[in-house]
Amino acid sequence: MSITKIAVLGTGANGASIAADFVKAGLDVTLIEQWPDHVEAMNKNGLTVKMPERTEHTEVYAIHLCQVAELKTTFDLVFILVKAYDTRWAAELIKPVLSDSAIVVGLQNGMSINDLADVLGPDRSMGAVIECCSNMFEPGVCIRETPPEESWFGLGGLSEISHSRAEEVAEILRHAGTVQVYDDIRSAKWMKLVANASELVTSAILDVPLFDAVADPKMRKFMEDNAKEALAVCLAGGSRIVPIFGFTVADQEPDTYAVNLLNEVLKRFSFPDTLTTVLQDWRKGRRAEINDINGLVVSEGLRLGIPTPANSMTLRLASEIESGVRKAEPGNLAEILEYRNGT
Amino acid sequence: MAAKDLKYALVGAGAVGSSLGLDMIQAGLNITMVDQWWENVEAMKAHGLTVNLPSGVEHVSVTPLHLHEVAETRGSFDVVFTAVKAYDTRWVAELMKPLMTENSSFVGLQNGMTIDESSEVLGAERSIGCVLGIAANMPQPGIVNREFDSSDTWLCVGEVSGKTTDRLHDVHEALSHAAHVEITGDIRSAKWMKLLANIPEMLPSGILGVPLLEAAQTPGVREVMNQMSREAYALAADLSISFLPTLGISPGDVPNSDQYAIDLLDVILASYSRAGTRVAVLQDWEKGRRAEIDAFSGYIVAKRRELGGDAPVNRAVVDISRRIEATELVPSPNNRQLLLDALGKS
Repeated sequence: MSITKIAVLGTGANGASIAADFVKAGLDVTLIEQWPDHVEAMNKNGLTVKMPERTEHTEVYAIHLCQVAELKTTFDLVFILVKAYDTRWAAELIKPVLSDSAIVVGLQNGMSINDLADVLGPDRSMGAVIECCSNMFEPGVCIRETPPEESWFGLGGLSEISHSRAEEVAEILRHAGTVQVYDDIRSAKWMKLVANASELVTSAILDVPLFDAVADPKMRKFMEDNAKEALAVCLAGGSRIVPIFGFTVADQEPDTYAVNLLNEVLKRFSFPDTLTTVLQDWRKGRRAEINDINGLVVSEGLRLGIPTPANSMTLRLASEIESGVRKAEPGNLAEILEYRNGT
Repeated sequence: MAAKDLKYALVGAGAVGSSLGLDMIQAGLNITMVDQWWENVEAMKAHGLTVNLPSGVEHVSVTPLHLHEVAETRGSFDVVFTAVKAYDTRWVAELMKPLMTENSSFVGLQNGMTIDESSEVLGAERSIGCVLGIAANMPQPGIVNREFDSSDTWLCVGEVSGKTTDRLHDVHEALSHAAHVEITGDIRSAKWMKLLANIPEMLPSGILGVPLLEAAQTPGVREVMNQMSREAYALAADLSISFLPTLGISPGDVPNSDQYAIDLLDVILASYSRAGTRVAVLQDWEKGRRAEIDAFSGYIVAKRRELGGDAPVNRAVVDISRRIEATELVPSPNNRQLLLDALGKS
């Protein structure tokens, strides 16, 4: 059951940065990537990771998706870092090249653990919380604002069998940041989702960096309400408050904790010019994880009878932006603030 | 809605997908092509798609998408055709699922029983199966050799439910630009008939590394093929598959015995292969890719095992194929004896 062959599937800014850390640690890593120019650039010139204090250059081995069908070996450990909405097909794609005892880790936002478990079964699936800040504007070059010493991961298996491997996987992931193993990874992922619900899509709707969005008190209140609703839905669904990002909290009242989660993201993982991953996607013309974040809060809220007016507003405006009938722009604030009147 | 008003995706712009896609694009259908082979996408974006046919060369301008560009599309597709390898069906269905509505259909232009995979992922009510009577290959990105013209290409489509729906008529109309297309009320049996034809040809000629006609004429090999056909026929009978007339065989010429499986291979050899035709399995192996072992003889072995039995010749042929994929063996006429030894397993 030892882990020798590792794949990182989805080597955007976070995936490539982590893969580079593994390579530097001497591990056998294959990078699997859907953006052809990025694969070509990495294989030709190596991978460049620009961090605030240093720039690292790493030679990596990357393959295109179409080359998965050419692999003659199998992987013992796969980290999936594609967008949450790409989880199911990525898991299906990698399934034929997993070794018998392979573990697949979803290092993603949203509740992609459910998709992984659906496709691969809970015994092979591990959930993870990722708190890294990075972006990529040209193939082969990552801008990583949180170097390994400031990156943080939570990790846990979905069944006894997969959870028994968590420490083994954590040892490997520690090359890329601080890792905490959770007995209840679902709750830990919900904590991250609460934070994400407050900031990722909301600020992107205004087409501004996260810092600019929270600078407006009314907007900030809206963002906090997104977080509070998300945590209420989380608790109603049977998950519980757990400390994440490495700070401990004892017995906080949920609404306070929800706001603290947003504060912690702003304090530790955001920088004045940080564009959220959602805004990065939109600027690249790509779909963003709106259904996986605020959309999940809304649908779970409906199922559990928890009102979610703030998240419903976020979801509606974001869906309009994605379908092309609305532009992401600061002027959307006025409509956002209508959320108190119901949507 | 008429076929020309619908929005189509075609995932898998290889030899089969591009052959059929070109005809549909030329007929004016709104088709978004998607392919995983990035060099193929780049070549088509730069130079269009070229299909060489017996009657001449056809060319269209196309703007296919890379896989990562699927997340840049807006709206949904009414019909998703896929012509990827059978083993890629599940992930392609998952990839396209967010871009389909409840009324969209997913059409597998594929060998094997991929209607089951698409039904599992998307629901049987959105899955349409297709039987392919086409021979084509793709020697380089953007260029396809289609061995038979549209008028000599035969397809058969059907809903998993067996119903003849409006959607099925739409799919029929679209594909009719590329082939002679029939509609069946029993797509599972229809696809099984093609499987019966594929079983003896695919892995044996791949293992020998030679064109199909040459493989069938290699001394002793035809008997191995026939025994594989008989095992497949017996399994089909046990699964209550109907032995339909297919590939142009008329109803009166369908024998009530496993001779039919052998007749089907004769039809493939006589009407759907040229001297140089290399089966899909061999094309895959020559490109260093996995072949559809599990969709062909691997399927026979697995299904027979589910019923508590054994299909020894198919099993032995699968074992040889796995050794090729593990790079222990290479496709070669030198594998003839290995293949003949498979008969001893029965």
